[in-house]
Amino acid sequence: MQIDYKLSDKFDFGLFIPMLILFLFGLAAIYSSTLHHPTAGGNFEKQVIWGIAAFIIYFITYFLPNGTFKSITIPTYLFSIFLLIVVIIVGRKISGAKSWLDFGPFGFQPSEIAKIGTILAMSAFLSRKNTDIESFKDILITLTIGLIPVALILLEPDMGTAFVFIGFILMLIYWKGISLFGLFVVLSPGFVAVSALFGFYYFLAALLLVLIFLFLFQKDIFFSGSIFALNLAFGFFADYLYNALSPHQQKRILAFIDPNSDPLGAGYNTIQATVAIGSGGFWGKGFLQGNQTQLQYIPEQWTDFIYCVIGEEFGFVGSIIILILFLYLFLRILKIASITKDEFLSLTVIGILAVYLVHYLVNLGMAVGILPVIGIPLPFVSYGGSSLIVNMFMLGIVANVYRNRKNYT
Amino acid sequence: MINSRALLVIILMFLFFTALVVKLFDIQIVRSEELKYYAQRQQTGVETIAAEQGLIYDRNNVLLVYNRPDVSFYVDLRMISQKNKKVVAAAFSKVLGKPANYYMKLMNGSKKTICLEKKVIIEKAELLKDIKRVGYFYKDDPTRVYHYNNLAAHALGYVNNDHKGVMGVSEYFEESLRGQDGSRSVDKNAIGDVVNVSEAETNPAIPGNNLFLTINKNYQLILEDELRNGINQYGGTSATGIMMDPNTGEVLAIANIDDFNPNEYWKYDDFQRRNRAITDTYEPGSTFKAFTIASLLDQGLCRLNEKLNVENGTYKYKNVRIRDTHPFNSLSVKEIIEQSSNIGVSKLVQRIDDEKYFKYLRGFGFGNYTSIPLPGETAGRLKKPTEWSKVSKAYLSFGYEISVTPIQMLTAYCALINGGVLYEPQLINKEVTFDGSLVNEFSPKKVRRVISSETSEVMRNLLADVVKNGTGKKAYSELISIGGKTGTSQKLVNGSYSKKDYNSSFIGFFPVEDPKVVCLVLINSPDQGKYGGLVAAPIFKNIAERVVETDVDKFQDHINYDLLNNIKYANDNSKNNSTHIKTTTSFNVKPINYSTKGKMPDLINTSIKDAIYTLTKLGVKYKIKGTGIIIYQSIPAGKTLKPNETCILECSEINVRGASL
Repeated sequence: MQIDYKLSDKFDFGLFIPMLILFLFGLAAIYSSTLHHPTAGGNFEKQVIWGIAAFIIYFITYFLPNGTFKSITIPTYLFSIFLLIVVIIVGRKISGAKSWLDFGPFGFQPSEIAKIGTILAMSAFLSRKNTDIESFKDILITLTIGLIPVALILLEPDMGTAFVFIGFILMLIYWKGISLFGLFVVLSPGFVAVSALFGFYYFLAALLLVLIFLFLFQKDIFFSGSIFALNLAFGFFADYLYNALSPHQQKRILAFIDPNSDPLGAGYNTIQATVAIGSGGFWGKGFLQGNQTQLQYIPEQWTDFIYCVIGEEFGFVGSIIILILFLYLFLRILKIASITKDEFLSLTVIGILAVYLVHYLVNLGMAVGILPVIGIPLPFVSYGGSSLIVNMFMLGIVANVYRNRKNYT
Repeated sequence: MINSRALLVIILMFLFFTALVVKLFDIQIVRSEELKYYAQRQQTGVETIAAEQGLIYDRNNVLLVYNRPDVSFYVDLRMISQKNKKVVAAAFSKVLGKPANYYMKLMNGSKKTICLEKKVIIEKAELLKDIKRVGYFYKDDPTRVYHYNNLAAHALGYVNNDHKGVMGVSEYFEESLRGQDGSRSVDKNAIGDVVNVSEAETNPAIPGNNLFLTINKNYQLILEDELRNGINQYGGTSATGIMMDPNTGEVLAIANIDDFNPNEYWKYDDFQRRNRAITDTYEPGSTFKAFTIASLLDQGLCRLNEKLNVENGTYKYKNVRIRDTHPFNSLSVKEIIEQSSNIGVSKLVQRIDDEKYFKYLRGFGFGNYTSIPLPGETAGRLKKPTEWSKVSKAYLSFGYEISVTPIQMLTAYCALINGGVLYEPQLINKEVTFDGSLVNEFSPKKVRRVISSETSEVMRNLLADVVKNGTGKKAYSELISIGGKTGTSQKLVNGSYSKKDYNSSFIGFFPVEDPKVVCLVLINSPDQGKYGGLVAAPIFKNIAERVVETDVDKFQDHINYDLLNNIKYANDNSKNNSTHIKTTTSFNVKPINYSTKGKMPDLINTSIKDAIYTLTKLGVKYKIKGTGIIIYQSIPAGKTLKPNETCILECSEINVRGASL
């Protein structure tokens, strides 16, 4: 094997540079949205400090020796589960969810650590030599590893994060090589359940679609029938679950279907976000010039609605730059996942990609009004210490995998 | 395997990327203008800037009415949190001294919006304005301040809760005083708070015009004071007094006792608030005889020396009996007036043709509005000759069968003694815009000539004789020459003349040689000495003497100086013994001179309102401590102003000795 001593061969600037620019965009947007805010005035400075810590962690992770991640898999996973149980008991409640643990002046969300623990654990199990993704037993074990933290997170209850977990769990199974039918069996109940929320006719249409697929797969009638029954059950379960939701959560779902139905209530953020981004126009209103932002029409804009600041002040151009930076970053990560010879690391990287992807999808979809309001931050851009550190740590893992990509056989 | 799976991920990523780009294109380029408009509409609003009402001064530039920049505080109970309620309550309790529980109780009510505190004075309000909580807000709520409380209340009127002028010049000149509201466009944040005022789109309010009344504050004080004393001394249900300058028609003072305090107008009833001097009519009685005699003299129908049989006090005329209080066998025309003989005048009046007599009375203004610039004036009633009965003319001649207002009587008396010309009564000396340019200046409004100047001169002397020798003796003053006529009339109670209820009045003027002041004193239902000569005349005398003392310069050619000091001494004594108030000094609020641009003006001794206005205009921020008149400014006068400077103004209550503050 020929050793290349060029720096770019070890250090992937294709990961680092887009992430750095995104972080700087985020800092500008945080500065702008908190400048005139009565209580969030110090957030810019805090984010700078968190940022420095996160970059240090990124480089430490980058330099960790081979095999470190595999060796910390089981302790990290168990520790995550432990923390998730602790937070339900003694956690601090923020906007309706008990998701924060305090250590003196610092607070963090155990679910952020659990992301890493769960990705590592699932990757480790899936990359075992004798794991057969087509066997019912192994699928069940994989899903169990993934769904235990999901269940704990739903108890907090933190819908957004649970959604992220489901995202990367499916991604890992998919990446491992599950057959189309297997994927169908895993996905279809969820699809039917979501359709059921839109109304009875959507529910019927979804069931019809499932029937068509079942017909196309041409499995035996008994098996197909069981799958259909499972779907039906999930549909009714979703309806039951919807009715069991608290009214404000129901409102959020309704407001997504029609934001104008309640312009001052649940649809308020969606409308104001659209107005903010839209009023930015092609070039934007300029840094610190966005009235929607400066007048605080969107609450806590420096967290989940940070993209509106960029849309309003940097316009269409700025918004597209953010999208392209993310897209480029994702393609780099996907490439690293593809070229890595070690299956455990490949799965880990793809899990990390899935985390970013779901955040990106849900956050931006929410900001521009094509998905419902689910409060999760935009990686590297939104304000928030623990999510920034975990995101940088995960990107550090990806960079580390890139550095060591040639050392595995 | 992995590569095809990676491809699917890439495809899905691009699909979502495309969806985002399409959506961004839709809202940021296609619908951008619409959304910009929406954003602007929700972010900006137009706020009205209320114009400040004009100030009211007396004829010598003494400030009578101004505005205090108070602030009212409110809480929207739907928006404020329990924690913030506690913060607000604690702050209010600290600044205003009421217990915090009081405010908590208010805020735990069920209304949507509550007023925590109304009209907080500015220096305390400044402290409370700093509280920034969701649902807590304040509004400027300026208070109209009538600096001397009851003084000239009926002339000034008051301003009600809706900032509308009611009665007095406040109502009559409301248009002038009100000014023009301005507007400004403002940026509003999500909860509707104004966060930014765009100067470019500000259309400033134009303050109302300032009025300078013809009222002389010192005269007004004397008049009110002496009317009150009169009621204390002689009893009586109420009193009215007016002072005018006979040569121009300017009203120098106008008062009714009981009166009211315009600062707390809601505490008084309609009777107390009504300017009875122009709204209520009475039968004038003997004071009216002067007009009868003047008509006859002007027509040359009698001579002063000619003697008449006055029937020993009882005269049967047609089917009625006319009586005199003091019976005589015969009196000259001069003596008829001096002794106020009803029989004499009723005999004399028969010499004049009905229509001519009526024309004279109309000429003096009876039965018509005087057009004094005050709301609510009534015209009284003067019957036409065709409506007269057989005895009407006789009754008219000594002031019955006619109803007049006090202001009509006095306006007519002006014409009687000023050379024979009737003037419209005036109340406004000048009207000036907020920045000092003149809008209107007073000039006498001549209505018509009523009698010849010769007749008028005869009347002056005749009325001086009434005071010297006749029924008006009690009005006689050593200090200054006084002329006048007493009057007593039985009041009409339920359609017949009451035996107990009288109006006791005196109308006089001074100095006789060159009348400068005419004054009416009317006491309703005095307990003792029902005759005008006993009740109203001495009150008039006190008024006249005190007016002369306060304005020695004006009367210098007609004063008996030997007596001036004695009387002053005597008056000083009486002041010590009684609680009545007497004016000594007036405070003059200096107008602000800000001619040099960019320099700090001299604000010492100016009113808060003027100072605030000037500073606002110059773009200087200010903090105010105390109320009243400015006694200290932190930026010295003449200093060049820098942007964003704050000037601290210290104020002190205007302490006018003698005036009730």
